[in-house]
Amino acid sequence: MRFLFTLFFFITALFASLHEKSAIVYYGKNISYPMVGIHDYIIVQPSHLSTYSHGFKRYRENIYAYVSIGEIDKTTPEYKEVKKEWVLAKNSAWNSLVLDLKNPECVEFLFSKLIQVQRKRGFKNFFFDTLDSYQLASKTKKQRAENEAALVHFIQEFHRRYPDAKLIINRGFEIINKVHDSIDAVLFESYYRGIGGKKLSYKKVSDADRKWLDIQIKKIKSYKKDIICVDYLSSKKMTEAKNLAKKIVAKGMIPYIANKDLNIYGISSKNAIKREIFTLIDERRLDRTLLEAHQYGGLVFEYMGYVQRLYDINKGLPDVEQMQHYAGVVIWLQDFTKKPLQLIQWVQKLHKSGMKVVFASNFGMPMSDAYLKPLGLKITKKIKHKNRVLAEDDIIGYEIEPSLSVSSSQIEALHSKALLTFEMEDGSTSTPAAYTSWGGYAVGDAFMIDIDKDNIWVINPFEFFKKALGLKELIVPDVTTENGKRLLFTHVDGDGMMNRVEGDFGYYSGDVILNKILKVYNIPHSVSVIGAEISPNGLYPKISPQLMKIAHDMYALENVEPATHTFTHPFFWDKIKNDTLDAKYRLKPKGYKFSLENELSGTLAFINDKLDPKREAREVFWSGDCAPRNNALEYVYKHNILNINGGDTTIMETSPWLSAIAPLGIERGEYLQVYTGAQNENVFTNDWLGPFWGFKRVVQTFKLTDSPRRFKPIDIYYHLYSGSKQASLMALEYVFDWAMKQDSMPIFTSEYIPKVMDYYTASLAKEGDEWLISGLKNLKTIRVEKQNAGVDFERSHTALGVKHFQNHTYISLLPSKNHYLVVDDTVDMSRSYLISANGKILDYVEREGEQHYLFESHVDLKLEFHLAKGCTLTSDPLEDAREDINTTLLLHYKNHKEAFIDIACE
Amino acid sequence: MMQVILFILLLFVSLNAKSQESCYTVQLVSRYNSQKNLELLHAKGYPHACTLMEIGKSVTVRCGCYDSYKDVKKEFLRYKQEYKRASIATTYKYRFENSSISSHVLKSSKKIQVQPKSKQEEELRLMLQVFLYKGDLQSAYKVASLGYKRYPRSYYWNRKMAEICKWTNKTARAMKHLRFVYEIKRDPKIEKELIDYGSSAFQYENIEPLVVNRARANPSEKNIDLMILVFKKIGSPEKVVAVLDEQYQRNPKNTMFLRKALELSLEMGDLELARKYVELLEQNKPYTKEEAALIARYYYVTHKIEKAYKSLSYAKESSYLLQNEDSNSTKHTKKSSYVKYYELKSDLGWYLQDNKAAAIASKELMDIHKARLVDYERISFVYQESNPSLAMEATKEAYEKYKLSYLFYSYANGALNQKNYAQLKKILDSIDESKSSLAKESLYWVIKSQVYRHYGKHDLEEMALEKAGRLEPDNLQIRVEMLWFYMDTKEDGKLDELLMQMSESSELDASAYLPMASAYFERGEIDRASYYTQLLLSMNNPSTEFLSFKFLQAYIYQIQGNEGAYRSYMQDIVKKLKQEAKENPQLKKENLFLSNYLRAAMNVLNPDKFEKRLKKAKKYLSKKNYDEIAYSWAIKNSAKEKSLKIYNKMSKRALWVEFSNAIQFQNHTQIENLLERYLPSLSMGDASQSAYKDGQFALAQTITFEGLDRNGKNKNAYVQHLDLSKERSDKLDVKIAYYDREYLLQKYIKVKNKTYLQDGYYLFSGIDYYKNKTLDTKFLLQVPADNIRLNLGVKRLYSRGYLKANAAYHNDIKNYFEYALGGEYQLSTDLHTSFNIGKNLDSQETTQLLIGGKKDSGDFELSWNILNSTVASFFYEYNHYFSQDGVDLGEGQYFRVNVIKQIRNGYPDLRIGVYYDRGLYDETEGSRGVIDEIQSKNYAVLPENFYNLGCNISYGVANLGPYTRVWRPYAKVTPYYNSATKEYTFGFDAGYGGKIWHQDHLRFGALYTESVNGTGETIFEIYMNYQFMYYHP
Repeated sequence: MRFLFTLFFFITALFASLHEKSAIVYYGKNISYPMVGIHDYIIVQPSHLSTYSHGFKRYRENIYAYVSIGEIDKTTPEYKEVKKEWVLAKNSAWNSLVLDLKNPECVEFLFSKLIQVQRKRGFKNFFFDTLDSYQLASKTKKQRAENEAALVHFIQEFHRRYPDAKLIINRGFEIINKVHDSIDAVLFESYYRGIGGKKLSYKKVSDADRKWLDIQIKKIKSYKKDIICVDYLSSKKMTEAKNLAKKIVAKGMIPYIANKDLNIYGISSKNAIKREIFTLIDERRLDRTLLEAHQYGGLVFEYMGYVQRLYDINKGLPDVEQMQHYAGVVIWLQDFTKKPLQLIQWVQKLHKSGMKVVFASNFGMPMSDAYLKPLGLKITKKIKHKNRVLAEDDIIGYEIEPSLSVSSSQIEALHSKALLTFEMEDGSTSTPAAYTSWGGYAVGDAFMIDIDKDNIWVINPFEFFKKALGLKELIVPDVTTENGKRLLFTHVDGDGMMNRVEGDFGYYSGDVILNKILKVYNIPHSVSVIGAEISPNGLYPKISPQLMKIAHDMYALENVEPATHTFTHPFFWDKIKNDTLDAKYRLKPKGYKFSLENELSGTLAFINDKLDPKREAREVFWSGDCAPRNNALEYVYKHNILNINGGDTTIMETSPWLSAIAPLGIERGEYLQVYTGAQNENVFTNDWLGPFWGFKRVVQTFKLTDSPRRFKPIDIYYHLYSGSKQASLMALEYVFDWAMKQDSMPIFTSEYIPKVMDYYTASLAKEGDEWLISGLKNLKTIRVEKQNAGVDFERSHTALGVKHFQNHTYISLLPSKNHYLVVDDTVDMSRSYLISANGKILDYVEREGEQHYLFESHVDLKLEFHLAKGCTLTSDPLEDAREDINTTLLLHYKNHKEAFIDIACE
Repeated sequence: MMQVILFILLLFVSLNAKSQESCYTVQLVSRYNSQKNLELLHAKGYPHACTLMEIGKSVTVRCGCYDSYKDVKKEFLRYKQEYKRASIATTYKYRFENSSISSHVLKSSKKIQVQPKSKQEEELRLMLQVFLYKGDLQSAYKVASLGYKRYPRSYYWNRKMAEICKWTNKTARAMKHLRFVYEIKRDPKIEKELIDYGSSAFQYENIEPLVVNRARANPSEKNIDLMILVFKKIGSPEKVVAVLDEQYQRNPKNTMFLRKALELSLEMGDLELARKYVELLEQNKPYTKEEAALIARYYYVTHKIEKAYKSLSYAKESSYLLQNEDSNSTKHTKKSSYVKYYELKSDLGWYLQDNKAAAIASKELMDIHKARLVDYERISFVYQESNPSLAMEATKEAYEKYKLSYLFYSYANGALNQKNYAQLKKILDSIDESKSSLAKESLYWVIKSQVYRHYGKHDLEEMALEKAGRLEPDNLQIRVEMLWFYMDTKEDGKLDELLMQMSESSELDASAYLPMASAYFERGEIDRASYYTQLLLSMNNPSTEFLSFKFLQAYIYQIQGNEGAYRSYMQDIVKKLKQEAKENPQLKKENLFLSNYLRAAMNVLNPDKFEKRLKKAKKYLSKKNYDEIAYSWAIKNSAKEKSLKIYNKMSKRALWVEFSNAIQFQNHTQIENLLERYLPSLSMGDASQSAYKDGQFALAQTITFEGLDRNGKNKNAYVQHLDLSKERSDKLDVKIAYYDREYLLQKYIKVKNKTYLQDGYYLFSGIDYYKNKTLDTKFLLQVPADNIRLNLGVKRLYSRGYLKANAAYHNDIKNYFEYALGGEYQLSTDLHTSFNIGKNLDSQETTQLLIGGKKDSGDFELSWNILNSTVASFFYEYNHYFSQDGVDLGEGQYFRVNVIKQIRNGYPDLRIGVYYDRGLYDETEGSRGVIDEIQSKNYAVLPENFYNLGCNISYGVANLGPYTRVWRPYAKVTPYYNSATKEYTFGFDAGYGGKIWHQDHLRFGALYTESVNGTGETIFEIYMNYQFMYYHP
């Protein structure tokens, strides 16, 4: 019997896979969507998260809001509204009151104050806790029966009110016979390991208790309901969690093992890969957008598939126990911390907990033995010249060789692998970069060198962070590419529509952009306007009719989508306090009252109502310093407004440094500001001081952000005032001419922004050779950092195609909630597949060796397939040109933006 | 065919024209008018008198404009020799009107409408003039338009149209007519007008051919720049590179074309193109600075840093550097054009560790007000030592420009180092603290406090420091500053509190050790000071090389009594300063340097030499420093008179000088005053001595006690304190022993207490409890099971001795009282005497006397310190013995002569002595009272006469009493000859003792003596003795 059990357990464990259902119960704050996204059941404390965030919206279907219906805790804000007559009993163990669900007033209270409120906030599904509390107050059979009936009625009423809502109940074994049709799953706690006693200490569950539970489980199983079994382990014993989870899976239940406070990310049948890098910064002096950690570090992690989470040290160092979901910790402080010893002790704790830590750029404290000795670093303080580089790893000299400039202190790293060692003038040595047992460090000139305004990497940041933090090689959700083509979009800030055109004073800049760009280059354009510049209530009421007409004509074009560049063009977003902004920090139209609503929703409404656009305006292109703070970001997320701008991507042939490429965006709390793909002409023309042809150089930016690594899509970002000068117009034409020749997929900006948002919240898991990616809705490409990788199409049902570009492989995906991918080292040429398309896939069906595609694009379609032997491809409408090169088939269409493709194989 | 017709037509027109404004000319060559031919002919170059001109569809080179055919023929023959296709032609004179036209390469030319004015036209012209005169531009425009319509090729009407269109902002039209006018006349004035107007009216494309032609014809930098500008305005900088290239081909010596081409290539980011021009420029070394900067920039962006830096070194020295007559502003203007060069030179030089060159380049930038932040930083770093003023100036300028706090601090530190308080104050005064973020930083207030200190505004200084402390309570630097402040202002309470906080702080690091050590030293806590200096020494901290550290450490050693180490440090200081003086002889004239040197040297140099040096240094030393050093020297040499003379000359005296003088001259009032007011700041040894001599014994003891607590290694203090303690301290002394004396076994406990009352009076009390047992009833029949002694006494201390009296109650075989009186007196420095008289005292000469006897006794001792280490003493004692029930037992005398030499002082102390003692007894016959009851037979009670001759060796006896602090063994061995037993025998006392927790002492020991005096008994005792010194309120 024991053998059979072992065998069964082994087999179950072996087949436990990404296809198993899983659950997570997280009651902590600052929820990590990459950690919870892969789960089928995500139970949360609703007050702890924003429902406006992208992550919430993306995973809303699987998120369940915790509601206690049987008891109300004294700490609950609604507690004070509870009337005496609703209280059945006191639960002294939890310091709460047991509610009487028989009381209609009480029931209404629960619905209106606890459930409806969360529904309004955006929660769709619920998790009902404390279902069994009535038992505390049920002394007779009759009382019990009445209370149970009330409970059943409550659940039925819930479904009557919210027919689309899904429900999980905590235990409720006594009523399961009556409510099983109304619930999706039953959760119960403490099967093997639980908590108990006054102090709620961890304990093993007795066999007797388990046997009783087994009877209940059997009953639930008979209704074919999912059972979520939550067991508790202390954080120190979480290493046992995986085995425990396997045992629970073997019992046919969905396991979840975590600490008793449920404020860590515990273990279930499938578990997310840690893809967040905790980065400690200091925002005392500079805003996070201006910090090196973000400007230079963010991109590096993003390219490797990770997400940088910035954390301000001034909020106090977080509890190590609650940091275990991070893939690593980077300490990147531009100013010295005031509490160096505390920081070092924290690093030691992290190390002890198994997390790796990297000190980047400096140690964030004066280099001193007193601080760094505990980390195995010996510091000698004396100003010395360097003689030579004694030894250096391959990752040193990435963009520039280390400098031999003077050094004020020498580092001796004990028990480490030196990456760079200098010999000093007196023969002593110094190691400013090394991998250590606790992670690694690269400081001073071993990290980056500043020459004038250039920040140049000495160390290869990709390799350094990867090895020092022990990061796993990930497949990367990629925002630069779709269906094998580099994305191309263009967005225009509305500044200067009214500028007179040089040499032709009868025309406005907006006219020129309309006639010479928007009408000429037939790709999607996203064009914003500044309300105060064009509105009759704005700064130029006399010419407003002409300007409104220009905007109207622009938005009447099929290939133009509207956006707002705000109403008064705030110059500094941090100056907005209490929903107001001093007039000196914005444009000053007469009689205008500033509010975020007027700036954002108001201007969008103005565009949609007054300018009659073909497409709906729902984007803001940030103005001024492009650094919106939480208040503005929360506003746009709350109102479903997409946002972009900011990020200084200015890499050029004459400043060919990685540091001149910005990350994809920046997070503030749960909200993301999406950065542009490249800087605008204002930057390339030295703040519009000239040379006005300067924007031509953005083509170099596009090239350098494509190869050797594709960091960015092509984003032609400029202002309407570019139409006012001959040189700037010519530059624009040059850039567009170049872009039109590229092998790209043109899209609107509104199609790009959600891809970046997806990137930050995507959740990944891996078992064996199979990957699971959840949370991709708009983002439809996975990058593999290999030259000729392929995908196992048989096991990867949502993978449609493979495109190789330089050293990368781009895998195209179908729209799907979850993607199961198996990446191969080579491509299976015996199967037909999509290589590239400059349009989206609207539909795809595969059956009996046949593939049916429906493509739609913004421009004339261009499709590229690998056609396996014995396969034929037909197109409706018929393509205008077909190129057949070996097994690659290229289809060109003229005046067709939609096509059905059928591939049939023998 | 067409060509022929055109030619005939042209010839006809030309001939027709000649009658009015034509002339003969030599045509060298004529070709079809195309850009290629135009450029070809232009590139060939022709004699100066020749003009390249476009006429209709042909382009031709014509030389000279002659009215007579004869003249032209002459010239024709001359040209014909070189130009085979030369021919004579007729042409309009205006084509040659301006010689400058001949230098232009013209793209096209229009034929002028040359017709006599008709009446109708005259009327129109008149009409136009009227309207223009009236300023009616609208009507003027209408008339001009009509005129132009009728006479489209008329110079007049085109000119007027151009003017009126300009005035009415019809820019494109104005350009059209202007262009026509220009093509007729080819007048450079019109060309300039065309270009200027074209530029201002943004008609760049219209003027492009003009500026290109101008640049081609006259490739001056001005014309080239104009051409580049126009192309940039059009948005096609790449096109102009080709023209520059072409110009370079024509004039390979002019690298300006290459430079401009390279500049544009780099601006465009076309590195391939840039490479081409870099390679060409590299063939023309040395470069101008602009060229060097461009080449370096190219190499830099292609990651060839060293090559980039090397390129900069090929730059020519600019001539302006040698032109002294240039005004500064002109220099600056010229230098400004080299900004890029210096920036790169500085950046790359710094990167490649050519720091000095980098700083020089940065300095150039600073001179022309183009310095960047890094430039200031580099100047500040490189010139920190060699030119601190410049370094400071750089940081100051940087702060004023960038308002970055660290720059302010950098400047402020420099200013403080250089004692440039006035400038620093000026900057501080200019800061608006209500707005500046500096005022929110603690360091700012620290700096401010230092400036206040300099100006003696101590209240403001304290306020600033406290503000800094509030802003950053844990900041070590602020605390250190506060330490110095409290030291300076003698705020001892605050200083102590701060020291305690700092020493307990978890943030404490080595940077605070030296100031803390200094503060502790200041407070007389030598142990604590020594702890921190030793920490620094063990860390090999660089601060241990500072002079301040060395002096401090030396003084610590001195106070600890470690003369050797003290001298060694002083020697080290002298050596170091000598070396410094060797490297920088100027130092020998500096007050601070000399002061330090002499303070150290007085311990090292021989007196004559030192005095010579002191005399020599006098003129460079400040009066205060000189006086103090001279005073120290006088004191050191016990030159009382001299010291007084110096003392009297001093206008402002340091505390230590005042105190030292008071001691020297035993000025008790002054001593009392100083002790009262400045006790914590005075030297512990001196203060204690002074208090003692002043009769303030308790104070003296307190001083030594506290001093020792702070400076445990101070042997002088230790000895001083030990003496005072033994003599004067409140003390509890408990002894428990197991005492075996042949036939008697005693177990006893003795508890003694000594308490200071006041005015030198002490109260003694004690209780002794003995348990007795006979070990051999053959000798001792019985002994009392136990006995008690209760003692109470008074002691009065005097400056040179004491008197004491006590009474004791004995509960023994019989109960009785004991009375005693004793005293000591210091006869002179070397001679010391003591005496005791008593009644019913304990008598221990024999076992029987011990159990049942007592004695009346008087003794006297005289001791003489022959040498510091050797003492000779004589002791005499007269005893009259009784039994406890009062039966006279007889008399005895005892004397001892002892000479002891201290071989070693300090643990392990070692003493060796020789002695001779003698006992003479005369026992009374008859009953021995109660003693008869305790002994089995009628044994003699008094000892036999005896003498002992022996020596005593003692080792570590310091460990017998309190303040030995560490646990150590001690031993005393006494081998001697005993006349009573006629044997060589011995005694010893050995044990192990040390402190348990503070001012206490515990020892375990055993003693053994054979042949006790004249009895031949042996004594063996094991004991434990605990002594505890305490304060009482």
